[in-house]
Amino acid sequence: MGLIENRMEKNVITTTVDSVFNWARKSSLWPMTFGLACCAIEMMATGASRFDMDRFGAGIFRPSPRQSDLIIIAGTVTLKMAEVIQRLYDQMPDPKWVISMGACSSAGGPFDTYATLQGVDKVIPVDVYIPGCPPRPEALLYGLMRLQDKIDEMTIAKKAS
Amino acid sequence: MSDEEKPKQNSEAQKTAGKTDLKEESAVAEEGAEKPPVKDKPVPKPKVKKKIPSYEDVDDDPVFQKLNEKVAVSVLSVQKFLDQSICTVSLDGLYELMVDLRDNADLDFNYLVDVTALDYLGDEQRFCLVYQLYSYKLGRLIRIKTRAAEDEVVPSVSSIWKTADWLEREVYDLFGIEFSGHPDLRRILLPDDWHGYPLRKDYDIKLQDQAWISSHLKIRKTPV
Repeated sequence: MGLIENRMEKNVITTTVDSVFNWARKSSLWPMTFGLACCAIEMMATGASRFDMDRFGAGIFRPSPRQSDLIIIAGTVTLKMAEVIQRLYDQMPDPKWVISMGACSSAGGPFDTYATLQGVDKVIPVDVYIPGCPPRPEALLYGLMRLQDKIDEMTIAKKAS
Repeated sequence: MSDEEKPKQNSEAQKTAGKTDLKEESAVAEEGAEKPPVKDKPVPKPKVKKKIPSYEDVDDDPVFQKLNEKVAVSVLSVQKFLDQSICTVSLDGLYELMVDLRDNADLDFNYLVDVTALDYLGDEQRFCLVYQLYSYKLGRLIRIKTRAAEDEVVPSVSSIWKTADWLEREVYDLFGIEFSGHPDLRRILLPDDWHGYPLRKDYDIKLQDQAWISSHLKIRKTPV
């Protein structure tokens, strides 16, 4: 996409290409197997049969950052882990998205302490924040749907500067 | 036929018996109702004060009576609190006492449950180390306490119980207490190059090591 991205004004070609690529991207998200605390338990429940994240095409958790395009930060981010998260995020191929799940990863939660990062958006850019402690699986699914809406608005056309 | 009839008869007999009982009970209840109601004020029961648990000095604790005489010299006091035995030891005699607690055939404290510490900021002997020991033979849990000043080095018990290795590393990590004779004394929870000891009382709970953060994390400037 790098060659044609951000080169043309919005026209019938860009919108057509966008609709195809965005449809493909949002319908087949590959989240990374990555959980940090109790939110990860809810994330696992979301992936399992009762809530079935696979209905939204995001059900297969890849064991490697190189094979995934979505990272769900599910839990408390310690400073020691923040370093790892940054490296994992850098290893994910573009385009990539981040969901910050729960109060801890969004803003530190109740852990305003020496060891906890006060929001994962201090080290990586976050697309969707999901409130809750922990959020219910429905909330994660809603967050995923909002991310799909966001992906749907991506474009290769020149952005207004 | 007789076999089938027998239980029926029994059940009928039980039913009638039950009926008569009910009648008798109702009769008793009626008699009770006829009595005039008592109008005296209810007498308040005298309040029994709950005994507040406290530390009591004990001389005849069965565990510490079995200690080797050479070792028992370093015992400063033996206390009881809610059936928990607490023994305070001088720092010099700590290691020998721990060896005896494990190797003494009458005691056999073969399991070190936990090592932790307390910070009494301002005291001459700033730190208090707490060892929880369990004996599978006696089925007993005891607590060994010792005090150490900030510049004192505590003898490591990792040669007595292997599990002390990581437990003492944790104490070193969060309190900065050094252990002599430890095989591998470095931080276990925090990053290796962290500055400061977070569980000390003079360490701000929200204080983050900015030098570590700036050298390890790329903190993003959040878009306005």
